[in-house]
Amino acid sequence: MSVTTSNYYGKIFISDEAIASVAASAALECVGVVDLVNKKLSDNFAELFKKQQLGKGVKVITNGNRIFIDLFVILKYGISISAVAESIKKTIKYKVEEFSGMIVDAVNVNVVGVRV
Amino acid sequence: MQKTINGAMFRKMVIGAYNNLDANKKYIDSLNVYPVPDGDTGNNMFLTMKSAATHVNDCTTNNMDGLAESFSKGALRGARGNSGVILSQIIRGLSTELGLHNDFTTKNFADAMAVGAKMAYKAVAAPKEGTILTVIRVMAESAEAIAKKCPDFEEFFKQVLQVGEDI
Repeated sequence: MSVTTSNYYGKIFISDEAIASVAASAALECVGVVDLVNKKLSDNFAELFKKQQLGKGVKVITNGNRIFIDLFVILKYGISISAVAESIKKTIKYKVEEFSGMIVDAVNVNVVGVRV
Repeated sequence: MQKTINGAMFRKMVIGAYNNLDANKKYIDSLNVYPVPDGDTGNNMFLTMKSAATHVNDCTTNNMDGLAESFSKGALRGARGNSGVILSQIIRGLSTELGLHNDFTTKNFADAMAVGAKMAYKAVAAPKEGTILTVIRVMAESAEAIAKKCPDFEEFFKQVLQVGEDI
């Protein structure tokens, strides 16, 4: 799926993958985020065959021009998880809205691990 | 000439830092451009420091290990936003090293700064230069050289802060 918007000249499609890679790079810039991980096993197989996966650990669901993002992260040990999760949400919402011009409805952060 | 700093002095240092940050938070807010230019960096750092200062104030002992622990715990608990988390990491590194000595010298303090800088860098997957990270790293690097020449804390802090200003 993709988000679409149209103006006077025609339509603009932004694919989920594009949004996922923006979200992933924004998340990695946040303090305390060590890595993003795939949630499903099949994603790991896909990683074996593809060289690089930009939107790893990010699930994007779009509906019309609304965006919902699920994020699977590994955080660093010894930081405040709630503070980091809060800053991830804020950063991703801002970066994706700036990039796509569409509204991000929800950013769900799943902390799947902690690295010491 | 102040050659060593003990627990009671350290407590005063933390409170002083908190008051200084309180006075300057508006200015820091205006510097905030990264990653989200919403201008709350100063406030976030202030809230983090406030929690740290409250914990240090409530600490019943004047031993450095107890004080350092509550300093880092307070910062961790109260961390808000990106800058607050970085600050709490710097404080955590600083405290683990300072907690080992009951009276610390300039050399101990320089070591502690290096540990703090390292810990802050480790917390970010893709460290961006030109942020608070750069400032603490350069200050920590020069602090080591300055500490060798000058055992007096007053002079030491003056020189280290000057390096921070010069970046």
